[in-house]
Amino acid sequence: MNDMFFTDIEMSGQYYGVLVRSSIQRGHLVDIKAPEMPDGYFMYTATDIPGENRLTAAGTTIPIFTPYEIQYYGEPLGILVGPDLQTVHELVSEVMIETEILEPYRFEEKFAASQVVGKRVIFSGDPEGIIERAGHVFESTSEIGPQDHFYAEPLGVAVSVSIHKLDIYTATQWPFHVRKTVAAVLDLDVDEIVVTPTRIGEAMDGKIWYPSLLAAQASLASVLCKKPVKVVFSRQEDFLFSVKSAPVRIRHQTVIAEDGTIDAMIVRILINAGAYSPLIDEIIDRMTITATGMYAMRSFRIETYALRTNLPPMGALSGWGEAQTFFSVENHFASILSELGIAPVEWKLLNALDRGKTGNTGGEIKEDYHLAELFSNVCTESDFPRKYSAYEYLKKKRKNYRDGPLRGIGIVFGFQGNGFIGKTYDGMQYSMEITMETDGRVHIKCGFHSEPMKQIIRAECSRILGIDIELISFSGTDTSRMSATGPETLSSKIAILLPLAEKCCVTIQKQRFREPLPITVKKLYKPAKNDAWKGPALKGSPFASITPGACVVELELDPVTYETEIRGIWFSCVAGKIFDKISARTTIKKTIPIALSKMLAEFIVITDGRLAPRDSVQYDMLSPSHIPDVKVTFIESSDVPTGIGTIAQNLVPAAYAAALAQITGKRVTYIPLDNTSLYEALEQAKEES
Amino acid sequence: MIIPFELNGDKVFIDSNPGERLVHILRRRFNLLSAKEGCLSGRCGSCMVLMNDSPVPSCIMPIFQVRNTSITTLESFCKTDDYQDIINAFEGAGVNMCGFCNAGKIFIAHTILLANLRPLKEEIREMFSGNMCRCTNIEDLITGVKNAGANRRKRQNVK
Repeated sequence: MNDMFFTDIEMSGQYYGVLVRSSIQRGHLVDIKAPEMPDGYFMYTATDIPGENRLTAAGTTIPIFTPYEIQYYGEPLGILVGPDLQTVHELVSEVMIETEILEPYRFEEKFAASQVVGKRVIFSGDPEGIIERAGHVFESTSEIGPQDHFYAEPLGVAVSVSIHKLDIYTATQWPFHVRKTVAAVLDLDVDEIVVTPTRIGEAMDGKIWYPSLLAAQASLASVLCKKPVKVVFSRQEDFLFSVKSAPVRIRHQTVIAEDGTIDAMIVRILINAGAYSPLIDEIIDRMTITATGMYAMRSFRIETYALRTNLPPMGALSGWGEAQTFFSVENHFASILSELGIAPVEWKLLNALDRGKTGNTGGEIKEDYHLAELFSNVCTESDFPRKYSAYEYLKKKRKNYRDGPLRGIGIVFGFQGNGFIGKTYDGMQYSMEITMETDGRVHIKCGFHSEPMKQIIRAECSRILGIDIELISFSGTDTSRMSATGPETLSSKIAILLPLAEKCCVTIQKQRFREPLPITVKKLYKPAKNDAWKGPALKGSPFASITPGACVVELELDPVTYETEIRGIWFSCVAGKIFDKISARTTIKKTIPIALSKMLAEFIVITDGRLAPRDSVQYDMLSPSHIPDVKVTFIESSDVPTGIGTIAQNLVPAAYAAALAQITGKRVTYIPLDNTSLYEALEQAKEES
Repeated sequence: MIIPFELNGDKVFIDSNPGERLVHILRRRFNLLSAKEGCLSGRCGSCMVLMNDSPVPSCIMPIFQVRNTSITTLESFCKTDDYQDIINAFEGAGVNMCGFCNAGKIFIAHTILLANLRPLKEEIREMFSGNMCRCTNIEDLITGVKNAGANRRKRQNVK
């Protein structure tokens, strides 16, 4: 089944399930009544749940079906099932729902204390004092809208029930969370539930906990009506109610010293956490840690607030908030450098965090980030210094903003945090079990199923054990045969799972000639002592490793249509040990269109708490014809491999914004960016000139 | 309404509502699962089939329009040499496909090669504009299609 999509699974006598959803944004559920049901059709609500009416993930709980408090438009109130999908839809539209409407929570600068679901403050020195005394304070605010991850296969689940066993098929990054959630909701033993993760496509960290919610809803219906139940979201439903990346607003205030170094910075981050956001703790931590980018500074203060609102649940999606903070900080510095007329590369290298310096969480940097080499790679390939100077000159000489060519080039740097070792919750620990059988074959049990990752692990195990790669296989296809482990996220795969496999194999290699086969070794991931992270204080080194990177984007703006043409993208990162260069390059290149789509195409309109896709039918993504050739270089080493799944998303939008700002002289203040706001910025620039 | 058409080389007759989507007929009546239900608006390419050797999104193709045509799905196409030219080239070029969008990518590549065994980069780029999937990148696809063209030229002895 791992090779199948759940939408391909048809079960004999299957029923179709459709969720009954709230039609108000915030309020109370007073009554819910099913219409007159034909034979074989059933509706189940919160009162039918035999166990716990909640999903718990990373310290946050979400009702499976809300019993009373409605927190967002479209919140599930129940599920209606039956043998004919069309009839089920018709019956759902006839369900009588009585509600009391309450005023929804807003996402605003001033907020009530009751809205705060998470807060972090870290500081060093006296930035307020420096800012108060400073002659000039650079200040900017960036807003980043929500992003949906367009899944080729819409979300859903297929559940079949038999005596003493519930089989669940769904595309999930965390099958053991599905099992645990369903067991708690149905008051069953976990051994009675088998979860088979189906093909996941590109989950991009958007399928961590949400499939567990759907699985619990469908499983309840399946158990109660004693039929297999399949729930498949329509494209529209998937867009409106699946998790989004949280919208954020980030304000930076900075004082630059006369020698060009950063004297002080104050950052205030507001995260719209929606009605529920189970991963918000890690998102807040990551955003706080990366709020000052990859820069060293004498004093800083970072305040991050996650605010409860009445939007649908928010998820991590790629980067877990890092993409937003890197965009914001690099965007902020690009405008400062433009105002001061300073060449960006030299200034960034002067202020960069590198070996021997101390990050904003107090951890001393012991590794060499190869920053000079990174900048050299992208600058040489793109001819950045010459082009930057030339475009600055052309901008100054331009009498009319329509005098072309209107070109700009931007450079940024930053990193991807791999294997966050902050707060860990029950069930989020990673483990792996490897067995060497008597015939020399090796079976790996692990709760993940990324094919490229499996290839890398097989190759590494083959190298350590000195056996043919063909003798190594993965034995787990469902939770009854996998080793229980945490979610398979973009940043955990190579940073955590590969070292686990290496440790298991090294132990087997030590034992295999002294002890009889079979030998089974199970390892749990534990952060090394020198990675110590004091979570509550946000002190220490928060990641198992980081992947530094730099990116250059060159643009040309059409002064008539306000469309931009991307003339080139140059990207370089420190990837450590690379096992498959083609696969690594593909990973970077395929995430660049995702980053650019977020920047330019993926508009989400929210009106009165309701999401509406741009044209009410579809969600736009950037067409491949808009993506230029991308030049990617890696700085390799014989050290451990580092993650590269989200580094491009952390850097490309900021480089794009820097290039655009060089053309227009205006900082990008909101993404996604549309042609209308670009036109307004240019008109404003024209008036000012 | 009875609708006759050729499906993967066999003559078939379907009694259906004339407005029913072809992708539903393929998946539900014939268990041909290579055509996926993605966007259901003809934009993502996951439901692609060949209709008289031209790629069409089967999700917006009402079954009455299929009358007396020849439909080929990936289940049948993958037995051909044309498919082998493409899939071998894709593998060599590192084209990483999630599995959901395979029909779209392979049929678009096939269509490009039917028109021109030496396609230009920009032609390939343009043809893949109707393929919405985040699993691979356009540069690998361009290399894959060009290499598939080379495979086909070699197999067909075209200079």
